[in-house]
Amino acid sequence: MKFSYSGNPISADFYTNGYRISCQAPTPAGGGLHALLMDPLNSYLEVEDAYISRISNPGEIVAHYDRAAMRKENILFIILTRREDGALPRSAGSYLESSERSVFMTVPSFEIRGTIETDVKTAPRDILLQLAGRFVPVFEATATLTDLPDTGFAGRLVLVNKERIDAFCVSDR
Amino acid sequence: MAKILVIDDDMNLLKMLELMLQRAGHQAILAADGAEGIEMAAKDPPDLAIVDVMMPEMSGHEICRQLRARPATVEIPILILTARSQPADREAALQSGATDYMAKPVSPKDLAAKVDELLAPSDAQRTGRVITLCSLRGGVGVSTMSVSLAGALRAQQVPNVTLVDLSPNSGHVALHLRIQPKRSWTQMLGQTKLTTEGIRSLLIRHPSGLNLLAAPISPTYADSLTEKQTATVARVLCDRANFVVIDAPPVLNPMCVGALKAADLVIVVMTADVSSVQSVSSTMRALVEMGISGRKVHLLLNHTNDLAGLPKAAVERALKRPISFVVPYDPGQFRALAHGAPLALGDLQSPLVDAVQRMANTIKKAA
Repeated sequence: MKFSYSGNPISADFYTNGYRISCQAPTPAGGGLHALLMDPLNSYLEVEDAYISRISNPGEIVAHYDRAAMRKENILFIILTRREDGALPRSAGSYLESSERSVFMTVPSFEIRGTIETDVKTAPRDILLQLAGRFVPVFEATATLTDLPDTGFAGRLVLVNKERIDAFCVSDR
Repeated sequence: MAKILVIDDDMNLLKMLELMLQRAGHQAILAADGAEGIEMAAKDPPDLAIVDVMMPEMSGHEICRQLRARPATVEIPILILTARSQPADREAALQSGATDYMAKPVSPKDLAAKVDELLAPSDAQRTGRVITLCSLRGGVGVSTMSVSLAGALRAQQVPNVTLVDLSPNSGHVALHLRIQPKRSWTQMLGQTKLTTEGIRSLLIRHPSGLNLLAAPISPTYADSLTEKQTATVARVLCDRANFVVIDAPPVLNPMCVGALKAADLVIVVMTADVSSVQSVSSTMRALVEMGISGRKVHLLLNHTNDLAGLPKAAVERALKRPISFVVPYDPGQFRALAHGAPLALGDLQSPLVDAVQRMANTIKKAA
């Protein structure tokens, strides 16, 4: 299946193990970035206008390329400044009303804090299993470098690669 | 109406910014890349430059560095406007020489307010304030306090702070900032007429955004600046700075007198010992004889070691004046000086930084 990229390109920051890539992702109309990430026929995500920084000096741009492709499974997380750019699907499998719960998770080199929308009783393991797609949406999130705790990155919505999560902790409140 | 240079590779955004600036009553000059923008700024320096970061040929950071490296553009306020909105991006922008930073998207109202704030120092109706720190007794920490105060003002996002080291004997302000000055005020000696551009071309930009008019590295045998020349330097620097902080020499030479007379605020630095009290007492008499109003003179008690010294109340009784500012001893200051990294420009909690930040706040409110 091929998407028609009729939606506006969105600005996003992609974080891999060692790099920060600020770029424009052309998205399908009404689908948001999540639609591209969930596309099972593409292992790579194509982006445009990519500015690359080393994570050790994340404010400094070391390279720029007009087009780039990123292997989805190697993306640790993606920071979006606007929630609507994620255009997330509703979680399936629950008739209970969802509420916001604080989460803490670790991926290689980063720890991520924020909130997720889920029902109060769901266990951490089940949350990960029930969430549709490869990426967990974390709202009002901050990602902190494990080795440089003073260096943090924040966004209204952070999409975290489920496959790269080492520990996933949820508050009951 | 101010002339504002906008450098951005996105033509739609350039046009939108042009419209926003025109509606706010300014003249917008547009450049689609860094090389073009730098050339335009060098030919006819604008009152303000608004620069994007993510541009393919030359990044906004590199543009800032190049503008700061040229005498003609060293003092232009630069606003970085970027979609990269993380704290690290703000830090990188300020380190490259930007005066301030805003994350996109930005509303016309917010942009207009920021532009007004950055243009304020060059508005003919408002000039910056001169703060002269002095002591006629050496070794009480006048240079440390000058650097700390200027650093605290800059750390509180005051856009344009200039530090002037008037020491004729290898002043240490540059050392505090880890700068090896290639130019200093001695280059004005012997000049019959000081020009605005000539004075401004001597400024050195510190990565924090502070501007420095340095003292010579080696002691000078030549005459010092005259009282009138020193006043001219202070006035010229004030035209584009919110604050000019002067580290005055510890002798009543023409430069010291010029700096004291040009000051909106005089801070007499002292330590908590008898000889310092005696020195301040005679300094206060000298200030009165110079016609400097007592209302603009404040005392700063600087604890340069961990000895208790005279109590504050005893010093106030002896001098019959209140002490406005007290800066506690901070052992971290020695390391800060050794590393050329002023405490006030860092993010460490320290007694010295807390006290100097309070002083900077008081001075800002009074301005």
